[in-house]
Amino acid sequence: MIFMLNREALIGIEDLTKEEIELIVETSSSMKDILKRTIKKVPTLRGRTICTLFYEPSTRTRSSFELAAKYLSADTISIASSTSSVQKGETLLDTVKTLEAMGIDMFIVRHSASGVPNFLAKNIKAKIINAGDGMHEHPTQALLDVFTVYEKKKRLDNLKVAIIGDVFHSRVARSNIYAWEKLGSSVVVCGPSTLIPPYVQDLKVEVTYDLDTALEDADIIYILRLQLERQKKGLFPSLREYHMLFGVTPERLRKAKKDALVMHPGPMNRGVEISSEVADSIISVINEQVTNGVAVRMALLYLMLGGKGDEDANS
Amino acid sequence: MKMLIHDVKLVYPERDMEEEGDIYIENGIIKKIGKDISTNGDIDIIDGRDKVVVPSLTDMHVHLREPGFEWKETIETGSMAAVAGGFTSIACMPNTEPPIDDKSMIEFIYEKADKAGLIRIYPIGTITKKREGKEISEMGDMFLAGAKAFSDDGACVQNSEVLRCALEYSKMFGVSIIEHAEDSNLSQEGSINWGKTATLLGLKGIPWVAETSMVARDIFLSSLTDGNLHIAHVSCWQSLEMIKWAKEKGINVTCEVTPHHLVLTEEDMKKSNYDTNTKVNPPLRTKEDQEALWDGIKNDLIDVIATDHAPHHLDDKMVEYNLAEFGISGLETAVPLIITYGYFQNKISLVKLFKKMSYNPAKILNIPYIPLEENVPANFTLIDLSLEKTVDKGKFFSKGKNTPFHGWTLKGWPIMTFVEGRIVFKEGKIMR
Repeated sequence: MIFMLNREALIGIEDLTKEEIELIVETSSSMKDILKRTIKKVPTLRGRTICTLFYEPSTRTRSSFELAAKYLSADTISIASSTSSVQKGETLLDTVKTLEAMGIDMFIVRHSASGVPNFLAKNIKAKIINAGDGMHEHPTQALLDVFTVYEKKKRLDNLKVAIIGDVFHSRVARSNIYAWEKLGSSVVVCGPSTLIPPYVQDLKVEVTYDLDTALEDADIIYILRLQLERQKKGLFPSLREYHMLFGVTPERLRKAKKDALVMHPGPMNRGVEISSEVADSIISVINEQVTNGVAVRMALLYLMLGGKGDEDANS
Repeated sequence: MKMLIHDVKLVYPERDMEEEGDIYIENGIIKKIGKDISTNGDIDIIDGRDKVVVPSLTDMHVHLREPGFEWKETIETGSMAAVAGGFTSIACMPNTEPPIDDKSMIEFIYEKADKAGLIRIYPIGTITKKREGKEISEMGDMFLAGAKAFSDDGACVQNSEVLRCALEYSKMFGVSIIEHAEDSNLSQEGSINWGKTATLLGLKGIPWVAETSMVARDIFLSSLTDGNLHIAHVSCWQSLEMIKWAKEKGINVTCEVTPHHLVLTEEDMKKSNYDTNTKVNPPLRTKEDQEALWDGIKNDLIDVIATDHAPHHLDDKMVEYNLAEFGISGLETAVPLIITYGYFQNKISLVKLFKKMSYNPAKILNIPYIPLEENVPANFTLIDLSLEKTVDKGKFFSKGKNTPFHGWTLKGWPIMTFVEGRIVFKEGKIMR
């Protein structure tokens, strides 16, 4: 049994063990109990300082981390920059080192460049959580997805997970692929061939360009956000055709299992990758994912920054 | 000054042979080569066992960064790095600021090289004016001033008609067009090889076809014009297949490979955990490509080993992976890498390896090649095959500390470099 995450950085699911994922899921359950209280605050991280550093726009991930930190009584500051560090004139590393010198214990980093958390982890002493880097990984999203499935299905193995959409550019897809493989479930990815990354089969996933095949007997239908600028690059001809071939609608869903769950990392393009009927249906757990995002992030902050392993997170 | 190196391995790339023997140098001139040379008087005697003497080591692909980027490298520091790396002559690429695209710039390089006074430096002029890929440069004027080849290296001439003209025009002077083969539409925004590693790391990939499609185009243009084509830094097996076909057809093409493409693959990039020192163009490819490159060395499909020495400042590399500059500082690790991996690991003969770093590039550039012969100036490198040393970028003479080999232990290092009768590097020191 492990009680804490002994790591300086959470960069990706790729380097987490199954045991660590299970610990995070269990701890998230206790954290969720705190969220249900009227007074949603525990003193666990009093005196610790967390900085959210977002070089890409984000509402849910950032507010989710900030609330998680506040519920655990950590102090937070948030730095947002839509421009890259180079355009600002200061390098990314200088910005982070400056903040670190002010006493930050942990950075939550989002950046459009893959590998930024790896780069920072090599060069600073504060702890780091990757809140999404380029097309690489988005580990906290995958962890909240796993937690959500666990709550509903009470198990994490032997599930068929269908990931639909722009897998090529998706860090969410990569982190989910790693997670489900480690947990003993199978993954099928489906999307237009121009949006499926080369050699993705090497990650032990099945690839199909046919939505019906992907949805057949699926337990989890994970729909990715389609970034609309991909069409301008000529990767697919039109939104209309995309919806026709890959949009998840009630009719297409008939292939899936009766108790399948529909998930989406948000924000959604209704009528493109997902129809409103599906998004708002009873099998959709999209809002649940958002709530669980706070619980999972509380769990991670506690497990990486908290005190001794035998302390009760609820105390 | 008198020096005798006895019982040393002597390499004769121009004759494809090597033999054990003694070599005696007096006042910078090789006076005698033979067995059991006897001497007397005040003389430096070097035990040559486990050592090798290689003439005229030439690196035909070097970025010296001057003028314009003197914080990355200068002709002075690049000269020091070159002789420390064992080279006696180098050719420098014209992607400076301003680029080497006219006669005065060619003269500037020669002047600066003279001032540094360590090594022969031969300038390569641009193919196109301002390196813009639009109109061919004044190749005739540059040739007469001493340009030894033309290249827009760092960029590929995308316009096929411009390259056709360049190949057609340059053949008047008998010089080569050195092509950096890359279809920029296919490679745009890419940082590493297109493939499994790019998918895992979420980085935009540069597919092999970005290189091979241009290699194929260039070969056909060379066939059409009968111009002299040299393909720089070949990185994938598909390009080698094209070059093999062209050579079999008698098309005028030569090619080079870098030590880093021979030694590293995308797996090393992955293991490096986004170390920007692995970011290089063309990118580190796959195991399969690497094996094809070694085969190309063994069967002489590859004519030249050249470093593509691309020094960068730390500031250019201590950034996000996709923002980092491409390039590896290669002059000071080329010889030990080739000996460690070519000679010791792949069991390729020294003469085969070093021919591609001396005689062959000298022929392609039509520059002086000074062999090991009696009564010619000593222009050679003494290499200690048994010397094991750990690469320490902090000790580089080059300003570019951007090497993925820092901390690697390599075997077979240059210990003395003679340039035209003068010792310019000895036991880790530059000799003025």
